[in-house]
Amino acid sequence: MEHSIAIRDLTKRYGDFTAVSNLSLEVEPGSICGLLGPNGAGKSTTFKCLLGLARPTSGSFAIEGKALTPATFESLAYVPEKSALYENLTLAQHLEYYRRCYARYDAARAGELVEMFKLERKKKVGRYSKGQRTAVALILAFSLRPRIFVLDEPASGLDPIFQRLVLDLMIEAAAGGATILFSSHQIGQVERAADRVAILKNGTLVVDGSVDELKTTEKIVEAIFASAAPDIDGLASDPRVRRIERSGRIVRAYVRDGSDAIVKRFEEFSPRDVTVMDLGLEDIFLTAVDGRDATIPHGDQP
Amino acid sequence: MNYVEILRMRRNLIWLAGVLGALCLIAMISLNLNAGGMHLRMGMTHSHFDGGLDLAALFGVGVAITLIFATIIGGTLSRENETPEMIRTKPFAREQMALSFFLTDLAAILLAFVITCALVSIVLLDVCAIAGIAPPPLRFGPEAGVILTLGLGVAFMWYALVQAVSAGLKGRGGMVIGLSWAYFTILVGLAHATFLPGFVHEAIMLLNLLNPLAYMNSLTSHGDSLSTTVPNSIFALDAWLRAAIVWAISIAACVVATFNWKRLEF
Repeated sequence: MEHSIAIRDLTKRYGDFTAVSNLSLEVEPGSICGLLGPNGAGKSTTFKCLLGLARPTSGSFAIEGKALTPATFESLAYVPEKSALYENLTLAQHLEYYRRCYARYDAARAGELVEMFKLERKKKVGRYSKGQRTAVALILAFSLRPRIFVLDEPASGLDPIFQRLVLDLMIEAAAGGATILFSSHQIGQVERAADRVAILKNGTLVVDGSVDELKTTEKIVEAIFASAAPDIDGLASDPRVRRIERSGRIVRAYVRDGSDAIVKRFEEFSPRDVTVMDLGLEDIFLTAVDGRDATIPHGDQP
Repeated sequence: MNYVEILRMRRNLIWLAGVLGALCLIAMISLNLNAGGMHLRMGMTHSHFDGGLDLAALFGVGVAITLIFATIIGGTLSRENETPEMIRTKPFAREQMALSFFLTDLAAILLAFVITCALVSIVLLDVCAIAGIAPPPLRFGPEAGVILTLGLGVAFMWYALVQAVSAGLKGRGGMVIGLSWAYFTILVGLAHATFLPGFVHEAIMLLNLLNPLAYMNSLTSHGDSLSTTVPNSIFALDAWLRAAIVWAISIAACVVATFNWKRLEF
């Protein structure tokens, strides 16, 4: 099957600084891929290179199997991280601009979206709040009914109600066959919407896989003790335990296989409670970016 | 594709018409308040209208205002660099977009010229009415043609040079426009300076090749008529040749601007 988005060996350097290093990422048609990473991880640079706003130092891209050309943008919508709207123009004028630029522009859909986000058409965009500007950018993008969305922090500045609306729009678009590659700092949003997640750290892809698969790769065994958590001999060196967190009376062990055996080890020290939990995306993210990421498996990365 | 630029130019032209209209209105009110003295003075200048009014004079005023307008709108591509995600993710080639900008702006420059000439004509009609004379017939003399071609060419050349320099900048088009006024004015002034050593003068003449004002100053008054055949500019060239050079430089500057704009990264 042809990938909707294929990034191969992307490297982008600015002088001595490497913003993105050997990044390869493929997004399948109809899927939602969340790109996570701390500030400066290279998410926006990846998007800019993908869309021709920056030239990659090396690497290649394909959108629906083809190199990027102006015609690609007929079927691709991009929402940048920072507002890139014309401040002196009204929302109505922005919509008119899009109507003139895109054959796919759907005026009825645009009208629905304006109603959903409760915006005034005749107000100049420069007078909108940050969140409202994000909403304008989203209205413009979704009114095109594109096959591919590239959304950089699409819910930035929006209140929780509209954040939920954005997620719903993304899920609805993907259900209709659209492909979505988006970045977010809000892991909850990614967890809810994405069926695939890629995590960047210092420009390098450290995790790439389906959200469900990643969640099942490990379990968290959490033990709560009556007093300060004891030192458990050999736990740190146990090959099944990838990471240990201590916080007062609580000990958490991130266990790849055999969580039952680790529960038994904890029970030898008479804890008040021992719980086995599934890994959350937040755990996956924090593990990946806190310097101990090498032990997390990820897709087809070496 | 050029809808945003059309809106921008519409706004600029409305401003131009508003400001010029207000100035013309003030001039007309002032003329009407001093109508008594005006009758006497017009008696002396009446002979100027004998044989009709040469459009060269009207075009001269139009070109002067248009020149200012053209420089003000020169930072178009630079302004687009402030919101690159908007313009550069549209389904059009960047060359095509830049060309549409240039053509829209050129149309606005021509409209600015027409608006200026129209407003000045209204003032002239008012002057005739106050003086109690019939409006003189308009005469399209040979000088009018060259003023139109060279003058608008100079305006467009200035616009295009500002575009060429500022297109590769993320914003700061206004700064380039401001500096261009200082640079071109000083440069054309230095071309007439006699105290400079020969090699410095040569260098200044070379720099003046890309100075729109250096081409424009050749049009001077000779008694009651304007002369374009006397090569009295810093370049000893016929005015029509200067006009051709000015338009050629304008086109070349637009090509450079497009290249600079296209290769910019964000």
